[in-house]
Amino acid sequence: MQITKLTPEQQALSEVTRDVLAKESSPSKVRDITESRSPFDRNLWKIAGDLGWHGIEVSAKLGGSAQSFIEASLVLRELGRTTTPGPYLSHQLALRALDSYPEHPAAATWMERLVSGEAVAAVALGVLDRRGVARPDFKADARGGGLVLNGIARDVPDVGHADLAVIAAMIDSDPVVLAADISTTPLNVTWQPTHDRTRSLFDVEASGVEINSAAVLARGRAAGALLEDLWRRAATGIALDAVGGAAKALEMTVAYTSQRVQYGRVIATFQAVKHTCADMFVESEVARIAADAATLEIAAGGQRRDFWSSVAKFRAADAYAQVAGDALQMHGGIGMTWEFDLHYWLKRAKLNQVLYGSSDAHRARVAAES
Amino acid sequence: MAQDQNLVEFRSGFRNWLERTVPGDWKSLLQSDLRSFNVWWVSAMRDAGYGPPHWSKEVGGPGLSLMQQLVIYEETTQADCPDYPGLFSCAYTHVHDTLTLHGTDEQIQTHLGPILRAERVWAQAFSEPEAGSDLASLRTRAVRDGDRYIVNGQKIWSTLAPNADWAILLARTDPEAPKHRGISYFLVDLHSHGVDVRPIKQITGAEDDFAEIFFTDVEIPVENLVGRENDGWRIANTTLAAERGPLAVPTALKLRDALASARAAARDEIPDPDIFPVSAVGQRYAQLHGEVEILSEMLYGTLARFVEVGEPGPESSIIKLYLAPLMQRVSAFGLDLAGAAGHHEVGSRRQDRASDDWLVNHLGSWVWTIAGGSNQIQRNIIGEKVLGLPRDPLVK
Repeated sequence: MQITKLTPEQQALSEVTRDVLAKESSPSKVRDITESRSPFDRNLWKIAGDLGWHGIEVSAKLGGSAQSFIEASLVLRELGRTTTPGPYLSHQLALRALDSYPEHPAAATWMERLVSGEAVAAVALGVLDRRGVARPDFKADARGGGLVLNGIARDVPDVGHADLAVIAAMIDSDPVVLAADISTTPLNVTWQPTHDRTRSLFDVEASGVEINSAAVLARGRAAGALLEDLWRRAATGIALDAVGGAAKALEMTVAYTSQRVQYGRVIATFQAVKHTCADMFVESEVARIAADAATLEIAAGGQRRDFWSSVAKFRAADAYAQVAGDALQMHGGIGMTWEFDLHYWLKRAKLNQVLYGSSDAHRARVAAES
Repeated sequence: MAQDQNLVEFRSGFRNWLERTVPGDWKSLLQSDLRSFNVWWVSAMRDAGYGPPHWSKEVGGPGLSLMQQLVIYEETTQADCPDYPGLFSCAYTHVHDTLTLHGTDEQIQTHLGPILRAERVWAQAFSEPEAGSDLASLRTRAVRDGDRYIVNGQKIWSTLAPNADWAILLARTDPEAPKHRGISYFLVDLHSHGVDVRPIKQITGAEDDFAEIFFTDVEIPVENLVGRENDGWRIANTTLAAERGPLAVPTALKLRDALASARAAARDEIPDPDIFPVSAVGQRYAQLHGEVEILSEMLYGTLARFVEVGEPGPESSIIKLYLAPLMQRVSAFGLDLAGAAGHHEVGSRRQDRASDDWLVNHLGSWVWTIAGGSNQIQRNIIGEKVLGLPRDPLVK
């Protein structure tokens, strides 16, 4: 299915989000943050909390607004459009994990502060290997009443800014999901600076780290189901970021080629340019349709949610990279400069292709289930 | 697939009817007499209240809802039955849609009846050797002479024309006016004196599908002018719009079937379930599987938006641009997997749509990137109409 019509409330959410980000996450603000190597704009993060973005899907009794993944998707799209730095997707995924276990003590401890934005959360789901199989990075062993955690996770988004980390691990062949308080858990977290400065990746090392059994959110089949849910949302979250970013990169290209004059003509009048723009539009629409389908399947708990989340991931992320690359080509020399903003979109598009499973890994998932 | 609860009965009723009605040997019947088999087929559909699917009761149609029409196209695509409406596709869509929008009551009376009774096959006489993408530069002339027009000129790429009795015709009535404003829209009897239809053999080997039409002093009575004189370009554009809509759904469903058959070949080649997902073949399959399902979402989404919002969304303009190259990629995938066997001559007739001939499918896919405004023209349209880019100053 496609999202053919938004409710008036959804329409309002979408518009307010776009207006807020146009002001608070303008290209010059994104540039200020990334040039100073600040991780993200704490002021905007606070506004997001006040506007209810963090708790959008969280149940009402835990302080959220109990909306659906459709509403969450509208916000993620807009954040992609403005290449907004910050742990928005990571935070949503962690909130989803806690919200899945509302009776767990971690929910009572963390939820209010996470929904308001006072605290930040991230997730370490593991890797999606070439065969499309999700594998946690950490091993956990039972010791005393708790667990001992060992392992290294590479390039985990946002965990260095987090107060709470939702971590996937394996106890022998059984998955387990932990909610670890970063301040009391001696993980070794190292920032890995990336060319895309709108995102922050970290290596996380655990060497004999003791985990209290109270931090165990889920084990066994329940943990497996929770991780599948988080993988689908992570993949679709990146796809939605791609939809927003691709649309903006196309708009920039339309604007630029409609005013740039060469050979005495606006260059968009040349078919080589016009046809590239048309192809960029097709790619953007295809990305949107795939991401919409995944969003609706997840929101409805549909049977094709594995299929659509993987298709959305590879198709939308690849489309964004194509569109942003074409945008650079259409801009010519100015697009190659640090001073011009376009590289924010291209770098984010390229990083999106590998976050939460590569396109090949997601194609492998689709091939495996058929 | 359309699944609205109140459609379930309609669907199963239609499915049962198809099973009871379509003869098991329909393919050989079709081969032996294309015309009379098509006449039987559309008449049977009509008599059972299923066709012409989108015609209202006022003009003798069944008055089905859009979703019911969709069911007809979905089921006829997926059942073991002939292409529908086959030879009558131009008559059912272009002629009907044009006359109901722009025709006089008398034209509707005169022409829709014979179509409904399956007495007349219609074709389109628009393109010319020197007017393809630039259709509005067409040169076939129609000169008013009392109560008739005299037509001279040549048309080409007229699908269905070898079997057609009548055609919708675009001809120039004012050579002095700007090119879009000197064209008129006519209904022409192809059995008139001076009409010569010459079939063109296609690269697939099909000879009964495609033709040139020569007009030499052909007389068309003035009552067969549709709309006002010199208003034909605007009218033709509404006719061209009829080429989209639910009619694209069968194409997507056939593509899904074609890919499923390619997948079976791919799994035969790489049976190991651990290797298939990481193999080049498995990766290529997964990519196309995703694309074909996206196409389906695109088409159904357009229909759903049409039902809910009353207008098509932006994606409707890209259907052709996305669908046509995808057909080439899917048939190329099937062809690669089939090896030399994919090049064996199995079938070449368009009507025999159940063809397993991968090369015919592959070659036929270019119909979609060329006909109805080539994909290069579609890119201009998207660039200018959707994205608002400026026109080429040299194109008048």
